[in-house]
Amino acid sequence: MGVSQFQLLVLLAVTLVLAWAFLGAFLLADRLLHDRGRARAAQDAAELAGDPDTARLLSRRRLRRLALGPPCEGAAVAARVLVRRRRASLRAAAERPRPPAARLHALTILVRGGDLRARRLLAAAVAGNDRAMTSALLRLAAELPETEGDELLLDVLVSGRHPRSRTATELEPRATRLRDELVELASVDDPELRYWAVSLLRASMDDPDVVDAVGRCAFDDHANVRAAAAEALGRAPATVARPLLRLLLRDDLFYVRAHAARAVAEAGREELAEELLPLLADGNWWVRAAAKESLAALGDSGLAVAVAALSHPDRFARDGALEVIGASGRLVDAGVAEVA
Amino acid sequence: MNGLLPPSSAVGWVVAVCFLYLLATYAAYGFLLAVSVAERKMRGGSRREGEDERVRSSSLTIPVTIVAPLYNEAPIAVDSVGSFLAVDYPQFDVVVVNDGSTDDTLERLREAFALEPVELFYRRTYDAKPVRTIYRSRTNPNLLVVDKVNGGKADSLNCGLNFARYRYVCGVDGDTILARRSLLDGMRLVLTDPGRVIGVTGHIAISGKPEASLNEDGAPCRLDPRPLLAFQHLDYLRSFFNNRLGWTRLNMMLCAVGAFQIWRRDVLEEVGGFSTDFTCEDIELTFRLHERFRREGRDYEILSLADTVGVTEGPDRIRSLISQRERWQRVIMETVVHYRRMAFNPRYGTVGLLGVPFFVLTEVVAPFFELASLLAVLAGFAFGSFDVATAGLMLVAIAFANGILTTAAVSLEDRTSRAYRPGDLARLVLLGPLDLLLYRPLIVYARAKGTWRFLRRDTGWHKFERNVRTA
Repeated sequence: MGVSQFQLLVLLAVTLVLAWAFLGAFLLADRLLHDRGRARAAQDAAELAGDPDTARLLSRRRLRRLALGPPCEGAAVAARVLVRRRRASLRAAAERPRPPAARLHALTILVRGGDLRARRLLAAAVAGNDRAMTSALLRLAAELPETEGDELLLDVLVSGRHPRSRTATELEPRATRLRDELVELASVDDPELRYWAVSLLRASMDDPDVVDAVGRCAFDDHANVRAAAAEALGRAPATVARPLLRLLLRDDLFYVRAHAARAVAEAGREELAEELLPLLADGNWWVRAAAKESLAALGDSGLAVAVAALSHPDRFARDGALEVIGASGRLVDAGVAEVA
Repeated sequence: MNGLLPPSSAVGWVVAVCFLYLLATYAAYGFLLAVSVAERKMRGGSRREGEDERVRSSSLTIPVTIVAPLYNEAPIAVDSVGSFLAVDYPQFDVVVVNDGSTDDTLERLREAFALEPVELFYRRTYDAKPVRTIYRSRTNPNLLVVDKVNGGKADSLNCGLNFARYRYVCGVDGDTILARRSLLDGMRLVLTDPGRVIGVTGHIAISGKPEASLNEDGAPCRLDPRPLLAFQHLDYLRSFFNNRLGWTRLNMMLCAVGAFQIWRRDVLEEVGGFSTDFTCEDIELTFRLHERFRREGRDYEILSLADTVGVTEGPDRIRSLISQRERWQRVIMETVVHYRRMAFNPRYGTVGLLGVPFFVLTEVVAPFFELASLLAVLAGFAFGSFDVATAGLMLVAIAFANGILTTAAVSLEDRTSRAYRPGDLARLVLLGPLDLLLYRPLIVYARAKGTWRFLRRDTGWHKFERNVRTA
């Protein structure tokens, strides 16, 4: 290695030292600016909420930071101002798929700023099927005004383009408002869609039409739908729920029986406690576990069933009964002693 | 002036090969860093305010069972179990498995959580050492403590799985303090696509006293002032933010850490749970799942979070650190050698073509090159082939190259959490280049020791002693 190679090595070392120093300084400066910006954003949000006219005094950058921050009155005011000032460029950015973060930011400002095309642009972005952005886009859809957001989220659920579990999470707070649409979905051909419709209808079990629709799903060909129906029926009026839950507690598939057993306890249906006794001797562990948990949760009526099960011919049923009695923390001398 | 590579000598050849190895390693790390930056940017950009609140309040959120094996964790057991019970998540339960501790771990738990023995008939899906007693907490109904005969960590996890009720399980270490948001952060990724996401892991911070490292919001915030622990913290940061995020992006996340690993339970059942045949269970399970899912052509993801999900205890003594790291080296070698058929095999996609070769390059063969480099440098000085200035410049270049990688990792973490104080950030940045001189030699030694023990087929755990707590 000659002198020139040595110089190369010097150059490499100096470059690396400078690069490290630059990166370190950048990191610290970024952090300090972030902290300052956050403090300022909180102040700006409070001022804007009090007097929206102060928005004209703020720079575009500060407005943008506010508009993209936590949803609040100040964020909405900042977004409206930005939409008014930069509508065309925001719409253009919202249409471009790349970079996804820039698209998401533009869409956020348009949605919060109440732009008329926001729903259509957001729908196009959701249809773009960018997995990484799905969750954020669905969250943003939930920020749309009621009707627009309902429609878009329902469309996404029906299309099945994105994981329905995540879409259903966003639809859940709107489910009572959407009961008619969900009742319709509870009878479509796609079993996965029926499952989610029934799951979302849980919150509307005071409506007779909903109870009817869910009741029909108790006889569904698909076990997942029957399991969802079991959970929902736990909240239905006793006259309807009792016979259907009885039926589901004897379902051919183990997880339907397990869901039905849990539903009995969740809804506090003490009148069905006795129906859980045969499940203590079920051939499937999950069903036995669900029956035990439910009996333990049902209080005195569950305990009475457990005591009765102590003389059951099946060993699993006796074991389960002991567990329920143990969990109750109450001594049932006669029965326990006899079995022991 | 003497050159770096003495011409036509054996030492020269060794130096040349080692230099090429160094370049290949930095190229691999540089590439992964670039991918990690893209992944973090996407994650940061796709996160929306209010998403967590929605997940937290939804009745559709999937419940999780936390399984925590404990072996002689008396000083931290109560705090760690307390942190598991304090996680912010709508529905979860905690199964603590006392793996035949010989200290007073169980007694402390009994006292702190009002444990009482219960009769419980559980599902024996996995083989595990016999259970002695099962306890349920009077104060926390979602806490179950299982006292069993000692059988090792994998055995305890399998035992815990026998008691797991929910569809997802989260394995955690007994010396880990979970951040309050940890499950929410982990399951948020799962909920984006429960059909595909089969596993999630997350960054764990290091402290000599993890129980004192969370702020009032339950988020990790405090950097341990001791340099040995700060260096370990930096090591973890590089490992998670420079590597695992990149692996995630390339769908080859090959090591879900034992301190925080969320798995879909049906997937664990399918592969028979954690293996007791290896020194450590976490990396082997991740390799096994990749091997199976890729071989069967199934669509799946194992992801690493860009969030810090907890704090674990790092050894505050050099001897303990070496003991821990030599074990890690052994388990990496055991796993990579066991799954060697995946390396460079296109059938295994990025896992076979990039992931396993990356492990071979940076972990398996590293101790051999590190040893060869050291010997070559010593020989170079002895024969007068090196001069001090050249060697010094090389050292500076490598130290600051490491410093750049470290600072990038700190930056990626800070942009996600914004949890460090600016003073701590400056300290971490300054420690970066010193890693080569003050910390790396310990790791080199530990890796050489681990390799030696692997070659001797040692599979002992060699657990390090807990750090001494002062009031």
